Amino acid sequence: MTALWNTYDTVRDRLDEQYSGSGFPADTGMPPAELETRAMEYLNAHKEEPRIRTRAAVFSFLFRNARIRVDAFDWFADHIDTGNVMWKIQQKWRSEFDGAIPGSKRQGDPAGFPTLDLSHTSPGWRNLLKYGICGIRDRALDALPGAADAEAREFYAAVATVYEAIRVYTLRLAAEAERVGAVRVTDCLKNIAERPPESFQEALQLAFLYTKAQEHEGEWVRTQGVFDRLFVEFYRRDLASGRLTREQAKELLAFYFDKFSSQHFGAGHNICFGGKNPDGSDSCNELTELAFEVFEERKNIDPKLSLRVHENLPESMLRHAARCVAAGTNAIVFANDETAYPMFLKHGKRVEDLIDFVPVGCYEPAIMGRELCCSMSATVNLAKAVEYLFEEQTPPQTVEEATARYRELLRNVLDETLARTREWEKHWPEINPSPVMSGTMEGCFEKGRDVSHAGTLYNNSGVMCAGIGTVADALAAIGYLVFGQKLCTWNELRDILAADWEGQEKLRLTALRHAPKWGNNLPAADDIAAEIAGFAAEVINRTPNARGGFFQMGCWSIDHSVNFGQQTGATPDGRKAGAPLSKNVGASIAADTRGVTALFQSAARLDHTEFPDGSVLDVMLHPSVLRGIDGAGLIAELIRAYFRLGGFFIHFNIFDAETLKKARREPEKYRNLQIRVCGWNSRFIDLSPELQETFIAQAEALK
Amino acid sequence: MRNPTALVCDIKHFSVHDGPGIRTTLFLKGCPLHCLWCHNPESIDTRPQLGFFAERCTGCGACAAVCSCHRITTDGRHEFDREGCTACGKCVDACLFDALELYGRKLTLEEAVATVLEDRVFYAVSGGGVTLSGGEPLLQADFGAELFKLLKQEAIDTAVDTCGQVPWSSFERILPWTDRFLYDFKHADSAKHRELTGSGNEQIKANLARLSQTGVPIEIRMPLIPGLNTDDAAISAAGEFLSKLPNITAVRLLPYHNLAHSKYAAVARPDTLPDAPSPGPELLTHAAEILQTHGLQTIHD
Repeated sequence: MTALWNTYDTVRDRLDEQYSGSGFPADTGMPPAELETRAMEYLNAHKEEPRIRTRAAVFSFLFRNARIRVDAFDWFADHIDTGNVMWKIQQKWRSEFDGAIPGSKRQGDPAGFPTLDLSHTSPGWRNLLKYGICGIRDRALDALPGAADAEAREFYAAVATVYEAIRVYTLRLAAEAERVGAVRVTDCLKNIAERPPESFQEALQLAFLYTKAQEHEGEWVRTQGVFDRLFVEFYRRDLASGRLTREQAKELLAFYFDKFSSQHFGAGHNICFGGKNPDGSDSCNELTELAFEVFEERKNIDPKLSLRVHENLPESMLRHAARCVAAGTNAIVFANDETAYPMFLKHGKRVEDLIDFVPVGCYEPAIMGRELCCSMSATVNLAKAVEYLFEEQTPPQTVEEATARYRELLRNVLDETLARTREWEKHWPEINPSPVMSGTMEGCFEKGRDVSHAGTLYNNSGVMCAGIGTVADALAAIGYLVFGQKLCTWNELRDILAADWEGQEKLRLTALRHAPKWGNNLPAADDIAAEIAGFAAEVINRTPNARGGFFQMGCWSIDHSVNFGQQTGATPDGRKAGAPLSKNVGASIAADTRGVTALFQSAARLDHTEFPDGSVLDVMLHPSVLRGIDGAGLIAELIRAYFRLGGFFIHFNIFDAETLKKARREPEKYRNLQIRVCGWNSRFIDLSPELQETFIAQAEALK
Repeated sequence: MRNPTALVCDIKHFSVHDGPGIRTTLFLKGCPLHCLWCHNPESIDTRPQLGFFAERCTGCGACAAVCSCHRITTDGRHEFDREGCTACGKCVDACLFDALELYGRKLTLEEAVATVLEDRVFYAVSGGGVTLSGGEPLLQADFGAELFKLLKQEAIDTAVDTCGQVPWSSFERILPWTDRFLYDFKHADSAKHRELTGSGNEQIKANLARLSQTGVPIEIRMPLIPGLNTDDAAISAAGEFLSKLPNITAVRLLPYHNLAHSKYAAVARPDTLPDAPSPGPELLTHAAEILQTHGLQTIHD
């Protein structure tokens, strides 16, 4: 038996390649092209039947007939070549509605973008592990005879169909494992095909099989849940029975983590740790530590870890995570339970939900297994509405009036964007019914409704609002240039911006250097940011979506700070047309001249409990800051400080401009340089030139 | 109630190398020593001063528009009448390219308290606080004492980073409200000390001996400039002297670097930076070992 273990280092390269090649034995099933042909034939022959039934049938066909592969060196099996047929069907059905959704009234680049977000889900891991594949199928079969209406009947039947298909698929994997001598996984697969998981390996295997099944269905899994609490009992049981040693459990975790990193899925997979118990104590356990050890030793960029911080999180755990950050292994986001809990309670969640808070995707809060937060249902470029300000011919008389006008313009943008988003949401049941996901989500069985039709308990829609710092700077600069210093008139400023500051470099530098800037703990800019963010939150959070929930404001931008910037003309703060916007809740590039403590104070001026779709602050530190002192301790202290001030999520980058420039010149020498892009990590050398430039500009602003 | 003011060169928030935790450091202007390796030459003179960074100047003339001490020549060069300059700072505000810097702004007690209290949550989570540095902050000991008195009412940790070349009475003024001292020790031999810093070290050693008897914790800061104060005998002599004093928490070794050339030029001060390399890890470790043989704790990068 021992020969099975201690192989991770020798097979790591092969693990990394596991999703790159085809490599599916031809005798295991139909080729993808044939699957697609037959699936499309089925679609054409069943145009009249409910789409949830059609999709379940196609899913079942794929999982019973697609080619599969089991790697004998791996501790987990999951490879199936469905030819992405489910995604193609989704695209086909989505395209039916493209023309039906009313377009933006704005010509050119609009400020708001609606979509149907199937990329941000938080599956019901508890139900999956509790019932197993057969258990979920049987729940559906048991509910079928008593279905309240036709829709419920279709729903239960679809769930039973897809979970039976997953069971068959799992047995196919087991048979293939036996054939290729993959002794590590054979019994595990046989067991979870028929009953809920009992061992640590079985639980992880089931979780991963499920992840891929849901993704083949057409919705990305963007959190593996509150990992330490979900899996610790399996781990403890194995340790107690002698089935596993601690070292062997670590090896399983390394293989498990590589399932994520080897997919090279840009935005990464979130795994959540810790959290504040109802009695105020902390919920980290021995598995938390084990997972961070594996993470620290592997130095990979995916999965990305979220650690929930609160006043009673043990210092040792926070420092362990901080040590990873200080060492550059920084795919970690820190979440503040002390802000998350009041935020959730304010926005309709129950006290018993709080412990299952998970960040979905990057830093979008949701209640695991009970909330479908669709956190990027709409994206809004806050700075774009500054451009609209100058379409009004009558000059405002005060900066307050300009700000009030901006608010009304923003209200229009939001109203229009949310209305269009609602249109998309109404069509979800016709575009992508999701019985695999629905099988695990709380509420769907009771209601007899698929998640696409508001089956689960909380059905909200996130609205990403990007560029709050740029807006604050722009409005503050209007106050400074037009009303305070009277360096130009409103109409002159309009022409100057339209000409992208051409011939006005002195005025531009004056605006850039002397007008108050967000991120410096100065009321002149910070008050505007707080007002605008508060206003947007008020409009968004009280607008119902089309799924029985509400829209939820998110104060973040991810890398849209760059592409929204490219779509935005010159702004009064001295920013040129096309330049990046401020990122997340941070300052415009190089504008936070009073240092990181002032940046924290500004960011915390916003009421983060009004951001049910999350918010995040990026902190960039020069490596010299950590030299000669306890660097991990300093990171931990910064996290504590930001959270005590009321911040929500925080993450770090530690590097200097010189290193980044060298990495750009000689990428081959910097293959391991990690950078925290937004809510995910990337190798610096893999970033687009624009993003590389943006990071270098930020690093150069560090003193 | 008196409201003393200080002359400050700089206020640095998020200072993590000037005492424990996250701190705010006030760099006060004026210093009795003239160390050859000084990396804050703008802080030596006790009067306000203008710094001019020629490499950042674009010759735009914004400064000349507000002050007659600045002139742009017909070929676009910037000329500056340093003699006539009263360091009023108008030109600094006018400059859009960071080419001008005012060293020595007046800071009232109220302003100082307000700015350092901004960061109190950072002090609380990190065990940090406020450090007075310079220059030599004890040249403005009255201000320091008033500031620290107020900060102690707010339970904020206070530290003084001193070169020690001041009358003992200055220490006495601030001592009741000071939680810790960072005390420079540059050379044990007085003649050599005079050669390197312009003053002998008798007063520095006497003050240090006396301060160490008061019970306040003292961290010694020893700059290491290869070739000037790094020979075994010098370090051993320092160790010998320091080892006899109580309440020395540690000796921190500060490796020399010669990155301050542009600041000498900016304030038109003769550049005395030694042409010495930064000490490598071997030198630091070796110096630390010598000090450790005298029973001293050492800290270095």
